Amino acid sequence: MVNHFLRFEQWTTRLALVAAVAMLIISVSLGFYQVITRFFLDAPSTWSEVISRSAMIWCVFMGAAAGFRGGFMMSVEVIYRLLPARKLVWLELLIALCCTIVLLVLIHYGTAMTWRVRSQMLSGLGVSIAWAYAAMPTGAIFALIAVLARLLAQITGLEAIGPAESETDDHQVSSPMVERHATPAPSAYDGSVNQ
Amino acid sequence: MNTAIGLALIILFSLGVPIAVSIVLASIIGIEFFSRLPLLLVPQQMFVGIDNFPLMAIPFFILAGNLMAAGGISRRLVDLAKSIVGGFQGGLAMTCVLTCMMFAAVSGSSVATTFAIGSILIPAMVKHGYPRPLAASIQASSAELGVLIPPSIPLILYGVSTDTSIGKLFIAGIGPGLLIGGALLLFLYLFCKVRGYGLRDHEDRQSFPVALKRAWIAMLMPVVVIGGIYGGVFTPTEASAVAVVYAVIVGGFIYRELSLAELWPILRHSVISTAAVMLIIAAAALFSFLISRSGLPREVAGWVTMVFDNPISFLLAVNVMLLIVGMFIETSAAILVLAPIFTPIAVQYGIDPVHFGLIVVVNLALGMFTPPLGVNLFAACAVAKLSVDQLLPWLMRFVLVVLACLIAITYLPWISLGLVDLLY
Repeated sequence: MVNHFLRFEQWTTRLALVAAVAMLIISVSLGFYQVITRFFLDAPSTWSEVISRSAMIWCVFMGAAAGFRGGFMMSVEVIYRLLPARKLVWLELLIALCCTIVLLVLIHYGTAMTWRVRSQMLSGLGVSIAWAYAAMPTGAIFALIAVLARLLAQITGLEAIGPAESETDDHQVSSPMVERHATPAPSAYDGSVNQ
Repeated sequence: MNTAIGLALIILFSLGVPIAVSIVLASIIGIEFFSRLPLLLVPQQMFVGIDNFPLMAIPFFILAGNLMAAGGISRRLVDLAKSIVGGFQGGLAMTCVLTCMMFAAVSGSSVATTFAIGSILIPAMVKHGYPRPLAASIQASSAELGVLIPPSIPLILYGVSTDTSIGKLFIAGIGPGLLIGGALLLFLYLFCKVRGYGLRDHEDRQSFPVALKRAWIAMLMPVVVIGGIYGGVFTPTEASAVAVVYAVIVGGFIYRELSLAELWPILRHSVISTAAVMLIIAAAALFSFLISRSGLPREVAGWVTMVFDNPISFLLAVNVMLLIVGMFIETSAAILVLAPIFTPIAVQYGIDPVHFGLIVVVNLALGMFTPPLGVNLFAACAVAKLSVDQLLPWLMRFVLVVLACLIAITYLPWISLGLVDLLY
């Protein structure tokens, strides 16, 4: 049962990640397109910015699933060093509970909000802004599956407990540079804190 | 309501709940139990918070930086820096600072800088006899230049949240960036002389023309980005999209070190970073909305103007507060919540918002390599395979150097504004 769910989750999270990557590419391409149309063709594009923004919103919320799954969301991790190892599973449970509440609020009220704005149009396009708002509940569903899978894998002992980014761990905030030299563990990808 | 939200936030942070989740959950608690507002506000404000074209420069610069790092630029920049300062005693340590300055100009992120440069230079410094914690400290502190020298993600955030020109902020970042870089260079030069480190650093380096020939295409990118923004050719966001395309062309077709197979990990990594940062931004937008609706900024402003009667004491107080905040709170969240509250107060004291933005960012950047929560510190420790505790005694010196620069940047506005006044 657990394995079935984890396999299902692997598939959904992958799907969300691929969608997010596609949205990022669309968003960047449109940003670049805009420079070309205005600067080289002298005909500023009216629709590209809106779609670029909406694609970015989809990218952010669809990318969240992979972030939650790997434990790459930034957090303050001092507590992991203060608690004894066997209590950590309770901490993970508590954290997953907090994530679940937030994601449920996003799914429920995000859907309500999407429904409410359905008559508003994206400026410059004849398309409802609800298409952009829908990213939030959709992404939150994928993220919720990922959060539950992470917790399940930790409770059943399939995966190590603790933050992916601890002071002693190589993966903590690794970049593609490090990633390629590090062991290609499933958790080798991560969401480093880019600032 | 504010007390409840604040308390919930502190508890959630210390439990290790992801920062974005903590901020939203605290806001949900505030809305549901301490106000008559509807929970529909949560998705609405989060959406509005990131539905913003200027903000999109952040994911684009993240992607461009990752592409640049993988596309063979790091090695070339290291060689170029080495050809310039490598001849001195302690030249390798100085190379680290100089490379970080150059890399900062093609990347908006200091953590990306730490990994890209640190993974080359920390092992090199250790090989040349520098103590490992010293090498990691040099890297952790130089990487702060990544957020000062444009393009800079924290400066974009400050610009967006206070309606300040991002172009001006970028130009204003150059002076402080050069000051801190120069101070670190000078300090390392003297320190290595006194302690006798890096006697063999001049070995194994290319001549300047050779190194420049290999690296100039990469160094052209900041010229295009900053020149394009300043010249009005494109907005900062469009500049970041241009930077992505430029990085793909340079890495894929000119240096030929970026293969299609490598593109997937870079994109995946960039997407996850984007989600992590932008969700914090969305959450902070919701939080800021609740805070400003409650009238807290006005109360704070009233209190501040009553207690501090001149800009000098006000700036001192702001610096102390930001330093403490920077040590504990993640940078983006800190900027998005605090900048809209304090910038209008600073303007009342006659401080230029662009100058104030640099003060905020330099402070928080210092927090990036001070414990307990310092992303650069963690990154440098990861690369050097050290624990934070081992690093601390060495790190203090660098913290003091940057602190001295911070005081100069705070009280000498021309360091930030000189170039802006000249150009605008």
